[in-house]
Amino acid sequence: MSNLENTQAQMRRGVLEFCILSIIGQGEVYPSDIIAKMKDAKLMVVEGTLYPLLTRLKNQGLLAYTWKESSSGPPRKYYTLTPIGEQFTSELRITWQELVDAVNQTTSNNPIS
Amino acid sequence: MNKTVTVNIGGMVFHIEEQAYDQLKKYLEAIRGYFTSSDGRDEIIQDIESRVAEMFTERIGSNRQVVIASDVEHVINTMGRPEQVAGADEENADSNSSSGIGGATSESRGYRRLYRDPDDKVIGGVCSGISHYIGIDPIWLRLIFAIAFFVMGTGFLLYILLLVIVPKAKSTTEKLEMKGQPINIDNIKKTIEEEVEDIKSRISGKGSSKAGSSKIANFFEAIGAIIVAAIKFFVGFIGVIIAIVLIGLLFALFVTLLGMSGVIGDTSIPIFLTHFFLESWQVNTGMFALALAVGIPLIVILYRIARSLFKLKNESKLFNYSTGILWIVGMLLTIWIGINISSQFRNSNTDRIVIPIVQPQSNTIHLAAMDETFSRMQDYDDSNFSWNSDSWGINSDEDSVSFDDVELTVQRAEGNEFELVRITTSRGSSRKNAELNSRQIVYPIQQNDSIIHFSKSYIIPKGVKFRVQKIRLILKVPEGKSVFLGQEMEDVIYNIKNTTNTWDNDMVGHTWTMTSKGLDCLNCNLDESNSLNYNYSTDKDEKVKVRVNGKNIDINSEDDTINWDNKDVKIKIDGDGVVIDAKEKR
Repeated sequence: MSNLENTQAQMRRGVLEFCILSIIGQGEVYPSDIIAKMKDAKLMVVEGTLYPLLTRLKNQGLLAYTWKESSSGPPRKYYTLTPIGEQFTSELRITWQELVDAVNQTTSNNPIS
Repeated sequence: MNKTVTVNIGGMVFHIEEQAYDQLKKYLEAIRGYFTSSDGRDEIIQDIESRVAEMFTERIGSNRQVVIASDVEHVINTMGRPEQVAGADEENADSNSSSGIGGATSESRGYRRLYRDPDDKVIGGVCSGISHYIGIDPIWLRLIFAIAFFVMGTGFLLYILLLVIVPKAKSTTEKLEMKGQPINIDNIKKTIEEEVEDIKSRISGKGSSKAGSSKIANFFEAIGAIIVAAIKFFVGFIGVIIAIVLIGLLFALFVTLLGMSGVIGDTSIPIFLTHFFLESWQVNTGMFALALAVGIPLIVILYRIARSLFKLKNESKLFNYSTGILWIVGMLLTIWIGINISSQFRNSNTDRIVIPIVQPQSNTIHLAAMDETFSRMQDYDDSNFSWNSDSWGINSDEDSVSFDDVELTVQRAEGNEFELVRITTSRGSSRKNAELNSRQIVYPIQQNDSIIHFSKSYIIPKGVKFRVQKIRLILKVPEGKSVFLGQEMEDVIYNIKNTTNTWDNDMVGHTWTMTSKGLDCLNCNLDESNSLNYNYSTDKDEKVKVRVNGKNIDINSEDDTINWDNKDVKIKIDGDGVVIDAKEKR
């Protein structure tokens, strides 16, 4: 892995959790739905990446899931945010906004006033 | 035409081509290998399997029945390579490390552990395991061990020891640790692939293992096979012998403990211990602790030998843990009991008593040993106690035990009277306890007119514990008065200072008078020469015999001159005759 790829991967990895929590926050979802959105946003390339993350977030008490029957294949897990998860997400959102501002400010060409 | 396998993925049944199955299995195993169970491995794998099942269902549709290799490839492409799957959540794996800036992946590079290598072995893979560990070719190690085999069998013993101690590298992780390779997905995958290849080639019979490429290796393998067969037999044989010896030891330990705890056989030792040394709970706990501390290692060695003899594969974790814990408990108990017992000896106390004695009519006091003590000791010489030897200075029956730790010395008295002082020391858990221990021992002294009888040993009655009690007696003799040491007092007196520098055991049987310089002997010379034979030998090997018998002295001599010098007596023998000069003492 080159240095560039490495740094890119790290940057992406940092926001991955926030994005997934946000997607789940928009309503009950199935991992494939999350993948689809993440793929569209080019945040995630392969599906397998998602499962360890979901399991960890669930074990941290941020996510809950319910089983639902599927027409094709085995029953599916549908994920929702727990109250803790919602709190967590909204705080991440604030942090993210601060981060965006901070990054914009430091990377913009404006001379330091 | 391809063979298919029926599998259950995520609760659904699939027919899958064998090749595709192998691929899928390796893939899932590679993912599994990355996570630990605390990461939620089982759940992750389950989720992935469910998704795989779903994807298979979608792809097969209704016009196919069998999952083929391209389906598996599609799944792998969609899901991502194992390192991608695992890599996304790497912070999880080492969440405690500082921010992942810099080296993103944590690798345990260079960390090696000593294992036996089951893939490259002649006997037990010990040499190849060490060679992985220190990084030299195993053939040299094998050579060294083979040579050491003939040096008093040290190589053999060392090998057996290592075979027992060093664990075998079983899992892929252990094999990577053994080779010092970082444990990551790539290496795990590689290792598993290598193993699969190895097994395949062995089954198909095309060429043996990796080592089989060179002719030298083949040659060694052929010889090795013969040696291995012989050594295996030999090892098994020795193992059986060691096992028998160990079983014998265990049995002996068991019987000893039973005997000591009084379940079988003669109950003397525990009763002896409880009566006179320790509390009974100390004895019981101590024996239990010793049984664990000594017995458990024996059992473990036996178990290991049995396992390697009967080639039992599964190591029982329960057994390992429970024996380990029991052994530690045994050791801790032993230490604790040791400390507990030694605390009983922590403090010491000294008691000084003046024993009243009747002043004798004459100027001489006679010291003698007490008769009963001696007869008593003779009696118990053939009793059951193995402790009962004179060298131990301990004699015992079930109600009392006696110790020889009695010392009598003679000093000058300040005044005009004989005095007897008894100093008793003892140890105990506290000063008070030590004092009690010193008071409770029994030491009889008897006076009949001018004769004082001393016992050779003191007695600890039942219930009182031995706490290194010691009795020192000081007889104070006024100047001008004398003391006669009876013959049997030899064992009682200790280091009595005198003017003639005579040893204690030569002092007995004489009367000693206290002078201004110290104790002096009045009748030593006469008694000392009681029936003695002196043999002198000259250069010419001619013998001169001097026989001193009471008042008669017989001397047979040749021409030579012989001089015998002593402080008190001078004997001169030459051709003229015999001259004996005796110094006048007073």
